[in-house]
Amino acid sequence: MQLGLPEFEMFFPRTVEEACSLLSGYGADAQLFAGGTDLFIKMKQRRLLPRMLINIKRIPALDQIRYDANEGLRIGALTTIQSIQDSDVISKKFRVLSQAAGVLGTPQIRNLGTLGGNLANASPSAEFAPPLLTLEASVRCVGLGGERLVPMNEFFVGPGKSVLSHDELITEVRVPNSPIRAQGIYLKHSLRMMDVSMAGAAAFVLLDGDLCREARIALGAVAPTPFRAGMAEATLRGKRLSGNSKDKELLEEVGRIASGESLPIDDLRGYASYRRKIVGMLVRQGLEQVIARARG
Amino acid sequence: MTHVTRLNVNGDAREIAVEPRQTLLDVLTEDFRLSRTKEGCGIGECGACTVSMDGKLVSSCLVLAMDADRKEIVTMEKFTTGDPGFSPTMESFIHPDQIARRANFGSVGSTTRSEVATFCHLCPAHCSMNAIVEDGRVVDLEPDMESGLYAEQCAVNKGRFTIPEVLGHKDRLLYPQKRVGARGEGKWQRISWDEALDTVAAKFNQLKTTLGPESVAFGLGEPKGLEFAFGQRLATAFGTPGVVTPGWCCGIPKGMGAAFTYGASAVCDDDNTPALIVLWGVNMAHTTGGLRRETLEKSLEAGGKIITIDPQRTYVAKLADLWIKPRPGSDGALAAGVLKVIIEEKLYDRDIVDNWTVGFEKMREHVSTFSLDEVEKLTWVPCRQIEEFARTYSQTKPAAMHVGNAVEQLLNSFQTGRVAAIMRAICGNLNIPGGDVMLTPPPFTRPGSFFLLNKYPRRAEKILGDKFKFAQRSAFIPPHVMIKAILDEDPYPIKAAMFILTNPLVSYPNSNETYRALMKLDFIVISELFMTPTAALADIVLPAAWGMEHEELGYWPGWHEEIRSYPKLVEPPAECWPDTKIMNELAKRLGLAGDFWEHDDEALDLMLKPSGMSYETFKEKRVMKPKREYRPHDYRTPSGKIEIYSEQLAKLGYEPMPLWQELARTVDIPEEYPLLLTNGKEEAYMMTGFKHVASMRIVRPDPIVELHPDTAEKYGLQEGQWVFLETKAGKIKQRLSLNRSLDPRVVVAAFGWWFPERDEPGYGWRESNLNMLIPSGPDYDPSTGGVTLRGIPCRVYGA
Repeated sequence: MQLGLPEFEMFFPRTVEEACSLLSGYGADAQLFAGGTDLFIKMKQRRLLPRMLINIKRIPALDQIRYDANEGLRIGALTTIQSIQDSDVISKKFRVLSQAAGVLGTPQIRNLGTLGGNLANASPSAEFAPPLLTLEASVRCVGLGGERLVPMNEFFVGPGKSVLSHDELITEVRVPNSPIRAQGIYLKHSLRMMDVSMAGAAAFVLLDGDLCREARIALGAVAPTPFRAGMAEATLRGKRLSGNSKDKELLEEVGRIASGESLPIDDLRGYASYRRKIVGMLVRQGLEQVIARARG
Repeated sequence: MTHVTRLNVNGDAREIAVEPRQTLLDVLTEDFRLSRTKEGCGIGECGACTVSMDGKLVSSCLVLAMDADRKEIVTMEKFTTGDPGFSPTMESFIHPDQIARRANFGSVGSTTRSEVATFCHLCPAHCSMNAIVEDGRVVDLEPDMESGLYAEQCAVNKGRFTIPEVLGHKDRLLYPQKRVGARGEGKWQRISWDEALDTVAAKFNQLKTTLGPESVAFGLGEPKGLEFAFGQRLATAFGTPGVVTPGWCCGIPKGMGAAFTYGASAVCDDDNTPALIVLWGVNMAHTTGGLRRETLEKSLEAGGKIITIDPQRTYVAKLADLWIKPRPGSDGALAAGVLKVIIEEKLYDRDIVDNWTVGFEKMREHVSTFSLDEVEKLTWVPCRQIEEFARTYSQTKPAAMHVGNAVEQLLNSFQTGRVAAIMRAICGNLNIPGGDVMLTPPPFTRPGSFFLLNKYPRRAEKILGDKFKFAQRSAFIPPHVMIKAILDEDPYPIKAAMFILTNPLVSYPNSNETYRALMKLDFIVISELFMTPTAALADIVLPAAWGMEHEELGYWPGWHEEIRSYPKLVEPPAECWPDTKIMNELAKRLGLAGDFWEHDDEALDLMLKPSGMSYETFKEKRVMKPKREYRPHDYRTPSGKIEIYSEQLAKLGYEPMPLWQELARTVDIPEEYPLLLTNGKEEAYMMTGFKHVASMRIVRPDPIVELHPDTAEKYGLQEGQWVFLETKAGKIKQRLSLNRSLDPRVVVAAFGWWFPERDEPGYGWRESNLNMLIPSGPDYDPSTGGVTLRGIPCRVYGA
């Protein structure tokens, strides 16, 4: 028989400040939530048992998607995954984020889950992490002590752990403009598209003629946190892509190095060796596709 | 603390006081009584609870009722109420994104694709499905909404998720292996099929010669296809009576109760709509070998009533008009109380009782010897509920009563089955449309005949003496008899065993004793999909092919008298063989080729011979169903009447009439074990199997034990911590969850737990496995050899 949720009390703060105070006041007994699609699972499994839930869905103006030619993209933390998938400006200018939204769970989950939740939950396989890492986004965190902007590549510290302190919440994610000719992609490997990712790779390149001016590769589900595969990137960055079979060898090499930078584990979904192999393939495939797009 | 919430569901606006922990789904079930929108996984994976909230599809199990305040909720019921079965509209709510749930095994842009109608083989509900096969892999199992066969899958979709994953699982056994090193050490050497089967045959033949065929035993699990029947046939032809099957705790007590009362089994009539459904220890939203979930929905939507008897607040308890929460293990007493009220208040059908019963007066006299107060005391069920059950059941027509497994797992289960049968018959609910009906089987070979029981009589008395006569008649021995013969060589030694479809170390009562027995055996051979704790102790492990990997016929559950074809959809991996082939080839090496075939597939035609159809022809038809004839007064007993008092039983040496002394039998609760332990099946899994399936493991990652919050507090236990459960048989630990709806004296633990992800040969079978706590008797049910599985005295304490 399904267990249902454990018992708890709930608060509906109306402002971010109020939320931070509640979190601070109740300490370890309190947990913040929006969509609940990750938190409620852990609570139903009786693995997490906060007795005070801080429901932030009634805080206004945290679910906006704003784009500005100078500032770039700002996505409110309460923006649902489905809203990201439906957003015109995101699909035109930051298509990799639409891709991530499209492979996250099911429509029923996408209509409830939020971007802030996906990041704060800090799963090593968080769908939005690799894309946002390649976009060099940052996360606006607000706590009792004030606010700070944390670069994406400093945000995750361990499985399920981010730099957020207990009284802090994410209010928005900021994505700087990418150069017009940059191309990005996110590829996810899982048994079913709706399943948690077994290996994920986001690739981002900027070509200047045949010179690869910039290469960013971010991996998910193959290490304690999502991360930028710096050595793999360095192998590609600054190289010339002549358009012949040497490119293929180079990309395979990049994939191999990315694979080597990974630290996957064995679990029910897949063996570490398999995940390492797959992530190398995803990196190569991802790069092939963005390079082809950049050329075309 | 409750909060008033305004909910607008399908245009029906209500103010409801809810607790923060209540989800929108909880309210839809409990307050709005929706039965098509259901709780499945509880974690947003299965889609069973999908509703539209302000125009967006969401998983209502993850939406707090307070967050649905003033939102417009539209559910599938708005469009499907009154529909006869599962429909594309329901599916479009549950699975709006079909592509997202297709498994992808690595083909880039698939080249071949086919859709084949078949049946789920995971649980006995056998829902009809369209298997989607791409590039030689089963990638999805969609409900078949065209054939008119039952297609509504269990809420959690365990077949749909489990089957593709298991077919392609990284840990499938692929080659025959033999043990090297000590038993249970976990060291294996790959061998050929020839070597494997030659080794088994040599060992079995040697034992047959020196100690007799009875020194070899078989352990068989629940039939899926014909493998169980092959196992029985092999045992019969080999000459051993030592076949352990689940019959003692599943099917036989109930079946015999019916057989000795009105001469045949009766099943709930899904073809019509009951006005009342009694669900006694069963919950068909999740698993059913009986009444379909479509019938429940149909009945509720037509204004039907539900009575649920369960110590747990299951889905069908939430929907019930009357929820009876008995003391675990007291179902016999409860049945006695209900029958007493029916008799004393003259609620029965007069014509039936006056003209069609034997022994009614004796029973009337007998029920006056105990009081309803005594029943209440024993069962923890208030008298007025017992009365309400009796009155509602006898006065509402037609009434279907589905008695589940839980009621078959006690020492008095046969007699309880008798009372249920008597109730059914004297209230006039037998053989009426919408009640419980006898079936005329379609023409296929009777399983008993396939088992060759007439050709080679079993001689079960060699091992059972004159005990457990129903086991003797039903071609099985209870597990404790096998264990005793192994450990004590009493009445004779069993030295070798073959296991198919089963994991005895986790599924037989008293795991410590089972372990000692397995360790003592000279030789163990097992066929399996995966390494299990039992397989880890074997000498020879054979890699089994599974459903959909070979042509198959399924006839289980036997009392539903249906036979179905299960076409081969994909190749089995590597060197996996179907169990039927394994046994067929083994039979040849045992000198039994005369009773088997050149090729095991020939058995398919044999099973269908009475129909005049070959298997290939039958595949088009897919299923043969029984006839329901609704014959009034169709009592197939020696007297031609309802035998409340049965001469036949007396002749066998059993109580001819269900007696209070037997029905009221419950265990004493000693001071050192003050709580009563019970369990229910877990939705995400099938018995002890399939904990390796990632998508189901996230539904229930840990074994959970439930206690009332007051009980937890009394013993200083915190929710979420691992706690010890202990009985006089042993101790285990499980993770604690608090549940206010339980009786504070009850402990509900999880069944079937071991940990396939552990890197140790036993996979942690001692740690959380409920059968560590279950004594294997004495005492025994005298008719079946069953032991008590529910309502066992226990205690809990912190780890």
